[in-house]
Amino acid sequence: MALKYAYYPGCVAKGACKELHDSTTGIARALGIELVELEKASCCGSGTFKETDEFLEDTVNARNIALAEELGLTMMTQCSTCQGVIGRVNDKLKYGEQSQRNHVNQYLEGHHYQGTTEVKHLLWILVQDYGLEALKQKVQKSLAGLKCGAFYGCYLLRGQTITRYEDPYHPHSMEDVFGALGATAIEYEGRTQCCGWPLASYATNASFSMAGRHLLSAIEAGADCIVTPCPLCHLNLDSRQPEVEKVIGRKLGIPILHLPQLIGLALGLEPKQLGLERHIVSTSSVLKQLFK
Amino acid sequence: MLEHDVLIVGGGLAGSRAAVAIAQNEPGLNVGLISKVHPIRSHSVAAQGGMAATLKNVDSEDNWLAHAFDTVKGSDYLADQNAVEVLTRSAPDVIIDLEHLGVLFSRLEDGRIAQRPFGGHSYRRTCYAADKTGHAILHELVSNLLRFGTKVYLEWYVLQLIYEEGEVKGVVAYCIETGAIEVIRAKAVLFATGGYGRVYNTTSNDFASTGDGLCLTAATGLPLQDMEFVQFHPTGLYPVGVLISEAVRGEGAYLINNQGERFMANYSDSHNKMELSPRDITSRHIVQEVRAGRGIEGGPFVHLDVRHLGREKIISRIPFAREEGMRLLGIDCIDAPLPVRPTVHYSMGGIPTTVDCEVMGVDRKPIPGFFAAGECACVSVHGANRLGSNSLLECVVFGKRAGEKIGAYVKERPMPKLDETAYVQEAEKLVKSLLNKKGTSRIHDIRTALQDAMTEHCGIYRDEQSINQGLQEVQKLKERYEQDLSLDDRGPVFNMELMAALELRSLFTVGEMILASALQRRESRGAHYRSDYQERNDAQFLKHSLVYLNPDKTGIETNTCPVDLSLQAVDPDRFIPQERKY
Amino acid sequence: MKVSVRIRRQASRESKPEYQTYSVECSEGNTILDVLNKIQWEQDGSLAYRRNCRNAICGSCSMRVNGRAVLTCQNLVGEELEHQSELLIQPMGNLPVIKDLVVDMTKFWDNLKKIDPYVSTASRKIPEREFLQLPEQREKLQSAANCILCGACYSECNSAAVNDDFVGPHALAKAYRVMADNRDDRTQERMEQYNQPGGVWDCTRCFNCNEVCPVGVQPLDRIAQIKQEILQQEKIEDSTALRHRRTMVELVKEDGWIDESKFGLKVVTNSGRDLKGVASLIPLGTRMMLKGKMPWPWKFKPSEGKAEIKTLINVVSQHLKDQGKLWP
Repeated sequence: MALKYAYYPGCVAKGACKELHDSTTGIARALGIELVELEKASCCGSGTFKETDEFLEDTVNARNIALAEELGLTMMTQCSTCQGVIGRVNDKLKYGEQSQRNHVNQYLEGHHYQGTTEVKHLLWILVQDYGLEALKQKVQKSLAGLKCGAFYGCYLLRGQTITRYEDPYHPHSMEDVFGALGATAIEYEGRTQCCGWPLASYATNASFSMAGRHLLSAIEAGADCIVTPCPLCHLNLDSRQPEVEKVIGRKLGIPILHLPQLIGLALGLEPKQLGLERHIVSTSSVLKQLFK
Repeated sequence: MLEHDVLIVGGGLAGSRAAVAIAQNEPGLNVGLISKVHPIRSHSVAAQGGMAATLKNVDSEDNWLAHAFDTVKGSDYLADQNAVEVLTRSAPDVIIDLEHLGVLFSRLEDGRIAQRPFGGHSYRRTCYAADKTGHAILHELVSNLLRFGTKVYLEWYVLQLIYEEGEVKGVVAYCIETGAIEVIRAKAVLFATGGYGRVYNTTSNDFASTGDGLCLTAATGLPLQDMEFVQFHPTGLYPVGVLISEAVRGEGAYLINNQGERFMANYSDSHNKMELSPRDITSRHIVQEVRAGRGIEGGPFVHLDVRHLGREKIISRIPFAREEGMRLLGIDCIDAPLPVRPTVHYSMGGIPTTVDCEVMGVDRKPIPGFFAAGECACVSVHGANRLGSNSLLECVVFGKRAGEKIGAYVKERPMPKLDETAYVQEAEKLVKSLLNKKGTSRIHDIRTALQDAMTEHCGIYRDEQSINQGLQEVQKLKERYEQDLSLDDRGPVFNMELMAALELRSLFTVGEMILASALQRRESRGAHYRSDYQERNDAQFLKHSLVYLNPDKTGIETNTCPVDLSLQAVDPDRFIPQERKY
Repeated sequence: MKVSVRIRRQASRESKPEYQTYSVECSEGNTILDVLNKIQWEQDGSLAYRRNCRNAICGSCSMRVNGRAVLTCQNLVGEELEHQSELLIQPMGNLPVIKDLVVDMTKFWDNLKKIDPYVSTASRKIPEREFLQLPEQREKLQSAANCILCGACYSECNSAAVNDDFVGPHALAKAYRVMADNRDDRTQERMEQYNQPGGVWDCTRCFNCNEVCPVGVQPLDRIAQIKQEILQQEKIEDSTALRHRRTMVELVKEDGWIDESKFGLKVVTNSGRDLKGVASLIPLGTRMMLKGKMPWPWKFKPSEGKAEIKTLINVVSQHLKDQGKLWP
C-alpha cells in the first residue's frame, strides 16, 4: 500500500528555506509517497508558545494534529523543532488524562482532538515506514565518497519524552540514511547538540559561538558537508555562517544540506530542483565531488 | 598560619546551623568552616524521615514533657534528662526558625506544618519534607551560608586537633586538592563531624562517615562517652545497606517473615507498637527471626511490605523509598515487598559535652576553646538508643545553641598563642610516611577486614568472648596497617588513597573505643545487647561510660560518670527508670 | 561478567588527559559507581573521583558516562551496556578538571550564589508560628526543590559552554524555587534580576538539562515558568528576547504562519526603532536576496485557517486572563 501522510510544512519551508519544501515534495514524488498538505495548519510556536503559556502551545497544536486526524493520516513534519513541539503535545494529550483532552477540546471550534494519530518526522518515516532497504533500491546516483556529518537538532532528539525514536545521545537514523545512499557518515561531537538558533535574534555571540563549535568539530572530523533534518538549524548554520565565522575568528565554508536535498541527489533529482543554489554557503563543492 | 575567631569542622546540619547562627547573631565574627566534602554533600542530606517537635499541629494534647519522656524511655533511661529537656523544649522553636529560613516542610490542608507518627513517639509529632527531610533542611542552610559569605575550606581534612596547656587552640588541616598543610588557629573550635557507620560492613552511612572527629578528640587523650551504643536501623535495604526510612513504617508498613507473619506481634516488648517499636527492639527481632530460620527464603533478611498503603500514598509520602527499591533492586514496592535487614545507622555515643555544647574532659570540666554538636557529640540526649526523628532535631537544636554560645564566648577569649612549627613538621611527616608505604596490603583489604571484625564481634549481639576476640583482631590489623600497607597513588593532588589511609586511622580508633566500652558494660541496655548479661542492671550500670587513651597513649582506660535524672523532680512517676516495654 | 571500562585520566589541572582501560568483574545490576570503586579498591588506587552517599541524594558522583552526565550511583551497568560494549567514563563538561574525574565546581557554586538562592522574608512581619503554605503552593515548588546540585545539567548545558555569564540551569531552577515560594518577598526584584543578560533568556532550550537531570527537576521547564512570569509583566524592561516571544504570538494570531520578514523587522529592529538591529539585518538581508532566499513580504502566504487560529488564540487568551494571568 502506498504511503500517505498529512504534510505539515512549517513556516520556514514556506519562507526562507523554500528549498526544503521543494526537495521534500520532490523526493516524496520520486519515492511514491503521497503528501496531503495541511493548508489550514498554523505555526507550532517553535517552543516559545510554551514560554508564554503551555496551554497556548497545547491548544494551537492540538488543532494542528486534529487537522491530520480529520484526514485519517499520520502527520509528517520536516523540521526538528516542529516535530519536538507538536510531538510533545500529542504525547501529552494522547497518553495523559482524558480531562486534559476535554479541556483542550473546549477551545477548538470546529475541530476535535481525539488522540488517534501520530506525529512523525520525515526522517523517521523514511527509516521506519519506508525502510532503508527500499530507499536503497531507489538510489540512482550513489553518494559514494561523500562524507556527511549529521546535525539532528535538539527538539528531534530530546523534545519528546514519551515517544522516543532513538537514544538522544547515540542516535544513528541519519547515519543509517547516509549509508543507504552510499555516503559515508562522519561522527563528531556536536551532532546531537544545539545550533544556537533560539538565541540568534538577541544573544548573537552565544548563538554563533555554539554553531561555530559544532561546525568546527565536524570539519575537524573530516566532514565534506553537514546534513540536517531541521530548517532552523539550517538557518543558523548556513544563512548565518558568515557571522559565525566572524565570532569564532576563522573561515568555515562548510555546506549545510537539508536532509531531503541529500536524498534527492541520490534519487537523481536535479540540484536546481532541490534548490541547492539557494544556499548562503555554496554547495558547489558537494556537487563537484558527486559529479566530477 | 591561618586564623579565625571560630572554626567549625564539618558542614552538615549541626555545623551549618551553627555557622548560620553565628552569622545571624554576630556578623562581625570571622568564621571558618572546614569540611572534607562540600557541606551540601554531608550525610545529613540523606536523612529521610523527619524531625520531632511538639508543634501540636496534629495532636493538640502533645507537650514537651511527653516528648521528653518518650526520648528518655527510648534511651533506656541513659539519656541525661537536663539535656533532653533542652532538646524537647527548644524543638518547636527551632522548627519554626527553619521554616522561616525557607525550609519546605510538608503541609496540612490548612497550610500548617504536617506531622506524622514515628517509632517510639506517643504522639504524631514528626515534621517532615516527604521522605527527604535532611535534604530539604540542609539545602536551605547551605544556601544561607552562601548568602552570609561564610568562609568554607572546601575539601580540606583535619589531621590533628591542637590541644595544649589544657585548651584547644586550633587544628592542623590538609588541603585535598593540593596537598598543602596549614595550621588554623581559632578562639573556638566546634566539632560537628558526624558519625562513624563505616566502622561496620553494612551501614546506611555515606563513605565519609568515618568518625574522624571522634578519633581526633581521642588522640589528644580526651574521653569519648557511651561508645558501646551503636544504633542498628532495622530496615536497611538488603544487600546494599542503604536506609529505607522509618517513615515507611510510620506510614503503616508491615514487617513480614517467611511464614507471612507480622512477627513483631510474637514478642512481648513489641506486640503493642508492632512495627513502630523503637529501633533497637525491632532490629533484634529481625535478627531473631533470621536466626530462627524465618528469614525470607532462608536468607538473612525479612520483608518490608507497603502494598496495602496503595499507589497514591506510596508515591506522595514515601517516594524516595520507592525510588531506592527500583534503582538498587529493580523492585517497585507498589507491587512487591522490599528485602530488609538491620544496618548500622547512628552513633549514640561521642564527645561528651555540656548542654551548652562545651566539650568535657574526664573530670567533667569544660575544655576551653572546644565545642561539639550533632552526631559526634554525646550531650547525651539519646542514651542507649535514639528515637527516630530526634537526630535532625539534635543537630539543629544543639547546632544553633553552639553557634549562640560560641558567638558570646569568643568575645571574651583572646586568640590563643601557638607555635605552629612542630605541628606542621609532624603533619608533613605523617603524610610522607603514608605516601611511602610499600607493603603488600591494599587499604581496601585492611578496611574490609576491620569492618568484618567489628560486625562479627560487636554487632547487634555481643559477649565478653567475642569482644575480646574483636580487640585482638583490631590489634593485628593495626599492625598490618603499620607494617604492610601499600599505596598506588603517591602524588599530592586529590589523593583519595591517602585520604582513605587517614580515615582508616579513625576507623581503628573508633572501633577500639567501641569494643573497650562494650566490654566493661556487663548488662544489656538499649542498643547494647550482651548475650552473657541479658538484663538491664540499673544498680551497677545506670551511668555513662567514658573511654580514653591512657596518659602515655599506649592503652585504653575506661571510667564512668552519673546520668542526669533531673526530670524525676518534675514527674517522678515516669522518669524513674522502669522496665522498657512498648 | 567482565566489563571493559575506558576512563579519561588527568594527573593534575595542567596535565594532558589520556585514556586508560580497565577490565572489571561486575554484574549488570551494579551501579557505575560500584565499578569505579572496584577499580580504585582492587586495581588502581590512584583513580580519583567524588562519591559519598551512594544513594542518589548527596549529588557528589556525577560524571559523563557514555557521552552525557549521569549520577554514577544511579545508573546501572546493564542499562549502560545496552547499546555499547564498553563503558566510557569522563569528567563532567563545562568545568575545569582537577584530577581524573574530579572537576572544579567553583563556577557552579558562584553562579548559584548570583541568583540569591534563599527565601527572603526580610520585609515580612515574621509570625510567631510558621508561615502558612498550602499543599498546592508547596506542590508547585516540588520539582525544583528536588535538586541535589549534582552539576549534571551544567555539565551538558550548551549555553554555559559558550556564554560565561549564563548562570546555568541549576541556578535558574533554584531561582524558580525561591521566586515561586509564597513566603518570598522579592518576587518582583527577582523577575527583573532573572530578566537580565545571564538569566533566563540566555537558555537556548537544548533540553540537555531535562534529559540528564537525575532527580526530575527538569530545569528547562522551570526556566520556562520564570519566562512565563516575566512575560506577564507589563512594566518590565522590554528587550529583543521579550519581543521575540510576543511577536510570535501576535504574528501567528494574524496569519497562522510566521511572516519571517515581518518577524525580523519587529523583533530585531524593534519595528525600525533599533538602529543597531537594523544594521545587523542589512548584511543578512543582502545575502538572502542574492541567493533568492529572501522571504519577501509580498510572497508570504498566510494559512488558509488563519481566521480560526485568530479565534482560537483569542479565546485561549481570554481563558488565561480569566485565570488571573496577564496576557502580554
